[in-house]
Amino acid sequence: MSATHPIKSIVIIGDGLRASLAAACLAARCGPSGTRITVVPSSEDFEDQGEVLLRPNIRHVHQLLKIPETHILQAAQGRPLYAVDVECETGTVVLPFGPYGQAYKGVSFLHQIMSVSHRESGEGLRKTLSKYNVNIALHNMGTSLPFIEKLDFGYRFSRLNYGVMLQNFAQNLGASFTQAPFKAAQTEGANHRVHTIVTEDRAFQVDCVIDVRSLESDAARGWRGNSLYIDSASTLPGLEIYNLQSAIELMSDFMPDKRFNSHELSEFNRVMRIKEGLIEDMDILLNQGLGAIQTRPALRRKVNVFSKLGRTPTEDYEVFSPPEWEAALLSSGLVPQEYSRLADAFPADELSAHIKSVEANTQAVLRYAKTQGRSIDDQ
Amino acid sequence: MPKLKGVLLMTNNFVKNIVIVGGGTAGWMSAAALSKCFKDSSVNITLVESDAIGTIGVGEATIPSISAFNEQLGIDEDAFVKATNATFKLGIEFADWKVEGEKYFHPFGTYGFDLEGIPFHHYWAKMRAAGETWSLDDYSLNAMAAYEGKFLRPQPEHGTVMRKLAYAFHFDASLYAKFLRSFSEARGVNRKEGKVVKVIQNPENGFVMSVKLEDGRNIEGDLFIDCTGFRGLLVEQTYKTGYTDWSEYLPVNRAVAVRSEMMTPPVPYTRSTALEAGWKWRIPLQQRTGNGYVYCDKFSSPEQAEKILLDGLEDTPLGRPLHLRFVTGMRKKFWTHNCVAIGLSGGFLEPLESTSIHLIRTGIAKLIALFPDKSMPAVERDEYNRLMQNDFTHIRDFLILHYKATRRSGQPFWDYVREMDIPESLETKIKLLRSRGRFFKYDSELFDATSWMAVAVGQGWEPSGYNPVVDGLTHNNIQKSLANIRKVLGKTVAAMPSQQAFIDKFCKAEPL
Repeated sequence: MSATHPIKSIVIIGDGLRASLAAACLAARCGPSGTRITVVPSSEDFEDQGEVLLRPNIRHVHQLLKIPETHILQAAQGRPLYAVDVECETGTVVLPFGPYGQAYKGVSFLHQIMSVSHRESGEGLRKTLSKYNVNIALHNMGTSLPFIEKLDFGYRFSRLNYGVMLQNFAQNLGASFTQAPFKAAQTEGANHRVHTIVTEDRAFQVDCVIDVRSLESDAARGWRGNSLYIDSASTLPGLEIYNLQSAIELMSDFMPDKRFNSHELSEFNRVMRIKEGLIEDMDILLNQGLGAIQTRPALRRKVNVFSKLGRTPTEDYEVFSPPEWEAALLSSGLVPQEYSRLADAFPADELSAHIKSVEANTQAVLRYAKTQGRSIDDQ
Repeated sequence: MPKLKGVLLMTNNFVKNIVIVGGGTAGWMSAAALSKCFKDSSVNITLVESDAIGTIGVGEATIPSISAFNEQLGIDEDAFVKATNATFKLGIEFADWKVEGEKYFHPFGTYGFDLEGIPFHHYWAKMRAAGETWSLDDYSLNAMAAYEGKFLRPQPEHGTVMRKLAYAFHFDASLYAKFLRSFSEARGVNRKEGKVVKVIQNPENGFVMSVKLEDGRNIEGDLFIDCTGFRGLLVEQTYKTGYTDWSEYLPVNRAVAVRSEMMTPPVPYTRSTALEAGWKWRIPLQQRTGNGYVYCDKFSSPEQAEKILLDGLEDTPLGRPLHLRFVTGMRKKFWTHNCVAIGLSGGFLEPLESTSIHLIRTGIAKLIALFPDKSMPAVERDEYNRLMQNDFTHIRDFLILHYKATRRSGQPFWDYVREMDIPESLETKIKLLRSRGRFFKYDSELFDATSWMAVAVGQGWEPSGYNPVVDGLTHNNIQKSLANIRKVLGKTVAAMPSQQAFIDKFCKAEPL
């Protein structure tokens, strides 16, 4: 019983932040066991620009990398991201990472609101609920925000600086970044196993290839032979590198050896496909509307259950949090026909008092944010 | 009533009368949970049961989720333990399952501590490959405490190690039903004694309108919960929803059960011992022991089974053995029309991993979450059925693993289960586990990596490799970390009181 065929050499093909993130994660994970990580750019003149938005689970990656968050924030000019704006045909939809209000004795906040107030249109209900969502309130304050640890937040980073920070981190762990760009991959066997990566000035023998460039078709994603192909999969904000991050995290659990066990790779691909499907569901709901849900069983279930009961059924390996789905479903014009009977089990004044206390808490957080808020330059 | 404001604004179609048909554990757990939810509201809850119809009462062992149920009801744990003659359960010992003469332990909780974000068992597997002989049990607080007969209820002030102890209970299911009956009746549940002789349906939509009792009383309702056990008076006898039969994978179909005297202090674990045509359980309560033999009638007659059970008892039997028949599987629809099947009426997966009461709990929780109006819209029903089917299917796969992984041979029952075809979902899981201890849990799956590893490794399917990422730590570092974990767990167990001492101090039951 042992890892008798360890991977000795991994080549990452790609540029900028995407390649650096993959290199950092793999160097941290596999570097200590002697695996050599090499990054080969796909072009000579690539340069990251603008900002990258990252979902809250990027913090888990930082924890695994053991990079102090303060260091990351300084190096990457980080700001907290409490929600994302999605531009749709119908306008801007804010998807908050944190919940609407607080559940009360097992009753969700949405159901509390529905219990104490008249039925409203989807837009009306969304606006009412938004008053009680701390994440949305902070998001609407603009750029000068403090980090409030008790809340769910992701990051808004300078793409260039974040990529450089990760590259430095990876290099410190022994990863190397070549200057000469990728030229060709030499393969063998029926499954096109890549054995050599050729650049303008040299050739690398490889055991495993991680290709993080944009792909031409969805069908190409996932493991094929000894190569893993990962692209961004979605243009929704916050998801630019989600697929990559998620694949690299999953790869930690399913780290192959040179035998590339087909069961392990199939399981990896299956989980990744499910996650991609869930992202597509959100994309379709926001950008194509309710008319497009018929061929999407999980999305149809979400729409049907939410519009009837005000609940959002979750799937295995869910990507988005319940408040994000609630925001998206409400923005589609859906209004739950019913709310939980449990909400009616409380005297109306008890529930109203709870709702007022939630509102007061939201305001208190906003006051705190205003007094503590710092600009990018202060970080 | 101010609380009804929302209801009236929404619709007048709300369920006002819930009728639970059948008592027992499922019936009274449903009554307790619903009465807690709808306290002070205008919902009437009626439970119909007949003293003339016995309850099954074999589900005496539980898994840790039972604590969450009791907690939601606001039940004091010590009062519950006293009232139900309960003991604490830290896991299950499986004897003779791999081969005769060998045993292993399936603990609650987790093994060791994850290191560098990698599950502990990969480090254990690496050290085994290097020649170390420590077993997974040596890294389980639950297994160590169980074999020492120790128990201590973890408290917030305890350290992180002690807080790893996960526990459930062994209890007398009939006393639990009685306990919950008091709870429910105090919250307004109306119990009707009587045997249901007729189910009256609405001719237009097929909904159950009422159940008629032997004495002529008619109990009307908007929503009916079928807790009538295997026969499924409403869900099957009335609606004929059909049954997904899993006996090709889980072929045991009979049980014989008997109580016996308790001669020695109870151990804090369930014991499951493989026998020629199935397996027997031993569930220690405070003042008696529950025993039973679950078997397949293709390989043993009831008489043979009873004899084997009685001959193997360690203590004097109390009363006559009770014989039961069942078919492993689940209803094709748990919820149909205005009727929801909870408990054995919804399906049965045999008591091997004590999941029956968990499935009752999760059935109730889902019903409350998807609580319908009188029209019983398809969306609630479909979602409920989907979720319950997922729960049953995940548990089914885990149970099959126990049989499939056996190395017993030369006995027709065991030869069959060892060689049988298994569901594809399980086949994939087994391949992943056996190759390098890979386990990827579905979000809705009950059993985690600890459980799967415990059974797979216990039955002799040690992973043939491990996640190569663990090679990032040196052999010496891993060896030191693992030795430290064993030491810390050992110290923690040494400081715990015996289960008997804990029970005597906090929750000793009144003499029967």
